[in-house]
Amino acid sequence: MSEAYRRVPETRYGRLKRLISEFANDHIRLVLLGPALVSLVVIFIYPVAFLVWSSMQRTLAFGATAEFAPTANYEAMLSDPTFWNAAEKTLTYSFGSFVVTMLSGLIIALALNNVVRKRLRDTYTTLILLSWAVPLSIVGVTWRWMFNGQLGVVNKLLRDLGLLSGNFSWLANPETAMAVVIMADAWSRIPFATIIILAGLQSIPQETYDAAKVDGATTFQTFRHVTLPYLRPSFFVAGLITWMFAFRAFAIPFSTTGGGPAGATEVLAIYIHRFGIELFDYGFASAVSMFLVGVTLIVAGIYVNVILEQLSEIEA
Amino acid sequence: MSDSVQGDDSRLDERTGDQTREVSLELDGLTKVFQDDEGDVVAVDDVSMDIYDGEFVVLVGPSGCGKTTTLRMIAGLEDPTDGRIVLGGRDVAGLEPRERDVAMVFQNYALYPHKTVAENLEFPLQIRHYPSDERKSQVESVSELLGISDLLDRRPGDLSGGQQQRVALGRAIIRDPEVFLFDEPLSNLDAKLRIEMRTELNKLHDRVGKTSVYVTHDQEEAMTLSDRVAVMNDGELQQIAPPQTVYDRPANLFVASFIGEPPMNFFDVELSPVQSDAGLRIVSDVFDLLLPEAMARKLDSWDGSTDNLVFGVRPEDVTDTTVADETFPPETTFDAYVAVVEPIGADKDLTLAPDADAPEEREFTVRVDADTEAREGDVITLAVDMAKTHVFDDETGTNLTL
Amino acid sequence: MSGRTGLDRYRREQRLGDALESPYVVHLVLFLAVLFIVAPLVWELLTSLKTNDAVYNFNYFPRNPTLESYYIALFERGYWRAVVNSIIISSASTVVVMLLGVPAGYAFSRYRFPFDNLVFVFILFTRLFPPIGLVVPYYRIMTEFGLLNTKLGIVIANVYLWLPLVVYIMRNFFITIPHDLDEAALVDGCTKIQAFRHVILPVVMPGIAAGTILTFLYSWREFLFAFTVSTDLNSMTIPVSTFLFVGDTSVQWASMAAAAVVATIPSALVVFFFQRYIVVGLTGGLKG
Repeated sequence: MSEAYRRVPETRYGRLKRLISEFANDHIRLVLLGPALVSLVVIFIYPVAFLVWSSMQRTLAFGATAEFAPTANYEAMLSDPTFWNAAEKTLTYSFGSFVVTMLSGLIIALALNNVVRKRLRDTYTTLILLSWAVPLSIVGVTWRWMFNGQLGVVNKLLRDLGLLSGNFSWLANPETAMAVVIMADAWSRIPFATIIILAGLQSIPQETYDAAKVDGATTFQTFRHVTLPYLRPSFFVAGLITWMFAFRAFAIPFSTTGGGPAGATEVLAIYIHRFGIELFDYGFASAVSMFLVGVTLIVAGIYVNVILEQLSEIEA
Repeated sequence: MSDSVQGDDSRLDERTGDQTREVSLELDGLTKVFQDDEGDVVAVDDVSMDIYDGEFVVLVGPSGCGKTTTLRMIAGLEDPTDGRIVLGGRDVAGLEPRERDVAMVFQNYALYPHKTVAENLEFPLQIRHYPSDERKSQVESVSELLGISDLLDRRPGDLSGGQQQRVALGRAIIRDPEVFLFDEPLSNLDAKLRIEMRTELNKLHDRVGKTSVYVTHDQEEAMTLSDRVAVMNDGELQQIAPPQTVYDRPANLFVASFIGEPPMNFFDVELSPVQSDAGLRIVSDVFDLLLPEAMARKLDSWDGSTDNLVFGVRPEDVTDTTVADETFPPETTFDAYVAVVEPIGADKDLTLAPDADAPEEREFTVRVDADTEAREGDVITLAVDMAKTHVFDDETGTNLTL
Repeated sequence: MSGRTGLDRYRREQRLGDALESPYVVHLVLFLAVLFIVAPLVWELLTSLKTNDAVYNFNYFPRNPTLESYYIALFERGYWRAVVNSIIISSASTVVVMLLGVPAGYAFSRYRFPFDNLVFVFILFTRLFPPIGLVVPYYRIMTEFGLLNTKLGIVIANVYLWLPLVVYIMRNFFITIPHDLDEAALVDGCTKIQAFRHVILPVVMPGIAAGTILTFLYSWREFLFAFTVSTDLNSMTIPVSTFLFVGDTSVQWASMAAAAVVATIPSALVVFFFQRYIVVGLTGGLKG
């Protein structure tokens, strides 16, 4: 009967090994999950607690000391026009990027889905994925360089095409600077949206398309009655993620314009960084962080609900 | 089903005859309660049975009857809420599957997709640190036994369903465990292959002779494979007996309706005493039949209410009198209207009704000789083999004529 | 006759639809998309082959292609060390994240435990929590513990950033593996750990590859925490050092482009060789 054990060669460490293996077997959840959860408590929960605490501290003497003043930073924040400016820029930035990303993503995904040969489709996918993999600050400095007023390739192209004479300072003009950072942000996000939407398209059963074809549906009717309904969940998820991540974006606007000109592209993330890291006003920066976290968590709540619904469907 | 069905152990536990064999696996009051969002669900309810050394027992029942949960508790994949499992003379409560000396064949075969057939087969030995030459010779002999010697270097993904099935069997056999457990192993095969593998399993069991517990929802599989069939419903053991006994002498309404294809016909009936002697007549609006003496005596000695009696007749125990050579006494015959005739080769299945206008739920089925001249719309006379009929108490389900 | 015009409209729509779906249109769209994606990278590459002075000559293509800008970026400025830092930091982050995340994902896919759903939602929220919100606390905590300007500091930040994602992705991969396999291994004689190691891990290898590649790329790309924790040559990453060019009074655009190309090459190589895994990873992180 206990042949399972008779066969184990008894070495010097055999007993110890067996004890360890018995312990791991009896406390499997602890062994598998413990390290990850403990790590997350230390590197996530602790900083979050720190954030909440420091948002209620008024910072004095450039961060050297602080006093407890639970609402002072929040009051300062709400009455500060520069905060509202940053909030407004963040909305423009995130919705701009959201619209460009999702529209381009949808069109590219639809086109990719119509490429019959798999090799060719994979090649396109690889090329399109490139911009997603580029380090975020590289995205910023590249677009900064392309749209440089004096030396930028964009101006040169426009000049050579006869559309522009002289120079145009894209990044010195508030409206065009915002447009450029939005395009840079979308450039880096489009691949992700494309991949998710394409996955949604590919999950549509071919028979449904065949049935629509037999019924005589035109391309538009098929899109309207077959593609769109099936696509809705993955489009929704891709859109939510795209917007949420654009809302918190730091690296791309920061390395493209640094928030300029004169705060025209200073989104909340740059605003937090400026006060918290450059100006040592930890308390104020923490309060703004709390605001950004709050908005994100509301949207994240919707997302988590959708995900949990999907999961419960799968488990059912 | 109610408790009284289970109450009489002597009737449920009809043994295979050889009383001298040792008990290999004993289930004693085995119970499993799952916690659900809506409360507790009793999956297995107080199941007890002794399985003898070398015996092949099939657990059969509709889905959700607790048969698979019972099997998983024996394997150690599920902890019983209550009750004991004694395997090879030792209580295995709290033991891990690996400490239980069981082998299992899964419904989806559960072959390790990244390992070759040979590696799959030797895995149970490898994990127990068998020396490699012993592993190799074991793999050889098992793969020869199952006729998969040519496949040893392939991976499960390259095998057909039947081949995968064999490898799964091999992986179970190679360890020479105390008991084999099978969880619907044939249900993923197509019909023809399923019957082939069934025969092969039978042969294999004759050769290997190991105690086996086999779960299926297919009553035909249960009948053909088993030494004894354990019929389960709603988590409770309904009857455990050799297949022929379960068919001939079903313990209750559930077993009678579950075993047999097409299923047994049931009629609501009343009893009526025969004036001249001690006999009993069984009466419905379709027929008026005389119960054999032995059955009548049993009903007489039963002290329950006769208000809710159900009369059960298997379709194959009815004969079309017009084509039979013999003559039948009138107290075993009745007339019925033929609604549908379905030829199935050697026989014909007739769907009958009391009359042309009877609603569908009053229809019943008989299986008669293919020579029958009955046509749809006819009224024919049928004879019942009364000795093979049963009378059940509708409230408790108990078979009163055993 | 309305029936007649309806049919005409239908035919028109059908023709237009077929035209839109024709290979020409499809490939034109994709060509434009690829052009939009690739052009900025090509422009960086062309710039990097010029000298810092030649940039002022307004040519599309370098007249005399040279690696001088690379020399300036990597050796005169010493940014080769940033490349090494990036490799060390990304690799270490990936190893730690996978070591912690894979077993946790497995646990979520297989075992029930008190508050399991709540813990899982916590993981999801951690993934969605805006990292910018934790930059100030991280900066101060790192200062406190002497982790500012250290590689370890950046690795810790990366573990925070990517561990929840990997737990989630890996859980989704493990869920696709039938429980039968674990159970077969248990019955065959494995301990729970052995079943995980010898049976489930080899089967989930594509998922592990996807998780590894994704974590490496995300760590390599990361800027916010790397920039906040370190701008010191001992520990800063190549994306950070590339960005530092723009702080100069007179920007050396060609050398900056050279650094950008160096920072992009590993990303591009990973995409070229592991495109399929990346797609699987990205979608695996979102779908059940």
